[in-house]
Amino acid sequence: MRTAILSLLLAAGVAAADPPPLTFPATTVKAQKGEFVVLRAETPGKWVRYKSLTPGLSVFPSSELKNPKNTVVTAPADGTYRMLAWTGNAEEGGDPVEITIVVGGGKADPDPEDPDPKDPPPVPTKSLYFLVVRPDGPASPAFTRAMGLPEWANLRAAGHFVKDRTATEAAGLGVVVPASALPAVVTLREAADGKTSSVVRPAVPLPMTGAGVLDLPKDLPKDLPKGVN
Amino acid sequence: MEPIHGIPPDLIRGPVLGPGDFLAMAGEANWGMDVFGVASLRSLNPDPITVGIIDTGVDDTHSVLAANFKGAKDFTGSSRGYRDVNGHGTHCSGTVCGTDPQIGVAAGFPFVHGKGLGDGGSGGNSLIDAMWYCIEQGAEVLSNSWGGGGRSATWEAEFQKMNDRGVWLIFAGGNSGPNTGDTDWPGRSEKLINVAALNRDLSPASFSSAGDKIDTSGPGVGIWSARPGGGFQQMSGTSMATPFVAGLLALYRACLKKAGLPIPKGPELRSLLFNRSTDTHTPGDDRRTGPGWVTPLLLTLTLTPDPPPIRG
Repeated sequence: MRTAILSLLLAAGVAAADPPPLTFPATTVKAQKGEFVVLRAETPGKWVRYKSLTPGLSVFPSSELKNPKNTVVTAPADGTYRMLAWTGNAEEGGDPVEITIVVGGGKADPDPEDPDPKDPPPVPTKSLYFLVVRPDGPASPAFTRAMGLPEWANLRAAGHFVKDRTATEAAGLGVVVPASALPAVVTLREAADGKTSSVVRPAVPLPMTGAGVLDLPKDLPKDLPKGVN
Repeated sequence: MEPIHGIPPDLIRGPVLGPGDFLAMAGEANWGMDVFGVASLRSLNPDPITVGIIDTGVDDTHSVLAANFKGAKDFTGSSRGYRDVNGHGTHCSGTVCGTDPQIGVAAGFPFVHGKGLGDGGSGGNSLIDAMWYCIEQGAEVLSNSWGGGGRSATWEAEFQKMNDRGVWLIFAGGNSGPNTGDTDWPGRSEKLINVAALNRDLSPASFSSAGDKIDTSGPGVGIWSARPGGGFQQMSGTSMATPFVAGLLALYRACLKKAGLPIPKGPELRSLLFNRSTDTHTPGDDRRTGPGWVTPLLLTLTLTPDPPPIRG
């Protein structure tokens, strides 16, 4: 019995000293300015951590994603952005993998051909803004509970924005919702020029269930003109 | 005569634990971590900023404070220097930024301590000197668990200068209960963030002072934190709610900086807290809890970029 226990401990020791492998579908990813890029780690490791080496690259906290080994990155300007990812089973991780994000016309370092062209980098969903509008002042407990539903993180992971604004704050953005309809969600989409946005769905009641949150991006009507909210 | 300020007299001290006992109560150290949802700000992994605590001194060798202690100075003439023999300052310091995330809200953020309250728990202009010391050491958020005495125009002018520097000043509202005419000064000053104390069920703590200007509320009953000489002790008071809010706002400020967003100053910060609190007790802005409890989840949603204006 003692021998068996010692063997198990030894095996654990070997595992800790030999970090698991970590790969990505591609180590150079092309993206557009403001686009959300999902990085999907392939590893048996228990965790994956990410660190940006280039200022300006935003790295979404993996712990909020459904698969915390993945992450989502975005950059507001053209350029070449470098980041590191590493994995492990214990606190100490293995050697990092370098990933390059080429945004717009940024020049990327030469990168080996993707060994598996059938598995290209994922294409992110076009971003929507889910503008949650509520009465001015402190939030009601029911509102805070609704905004705490974990399904909102799924929308963010898909590249969408979720924004809480009071009625007065929303009016400053050009979104006016009748007081009787609050709290509500107005869905906006950024125009191609990146300088304006349009309402793609007028105010709907704030969903109070996870299923309702996940339904928000579905069955969106075409762009509506200003004021149809 | 200079104003006399001290720890509110009915601060409640609870049991004491040695270092070895503490692990047994994992998850219970500061119930506000879970009830308020501090994790939503922590998960954004902001780069730490320096925080300042103005109090009775600090045990800088304590297991949850030694690693991130950046400096301290005594302004009271204590024979013990900046070291804490009272217990109040070490407890408050632990709550702001103790390295154990069960204890410290902005866990591990570097801190400086200005000893402006003497060993007996009172102080005068030493408190203003201690605040400036912390600011000069780089502190961006100051936790002030003290109040009492009359309004001082000279002090108001000092607070204005600190506001102009962009420093966030968090104060305790006082422990005189619901039948008081107003909360303690300086907390009720328009230039400061005034904090009330809550029970675990988010109702107002029995001792928490009532007043017309409460900016937010924090966990203030049965809070475990560091004790001078090692170990931990439980305390209750607006003195405990204040470092919680200060730690939370330090986390938030660090997130704003990471996102490259502007840092609001005095009145803007008050407005932000008003709109990013969750109502409790009497609906609306009431005399016991102000707008309610400051809500990390709602603060994180301010970090999302606004959509561009609607197409004309």
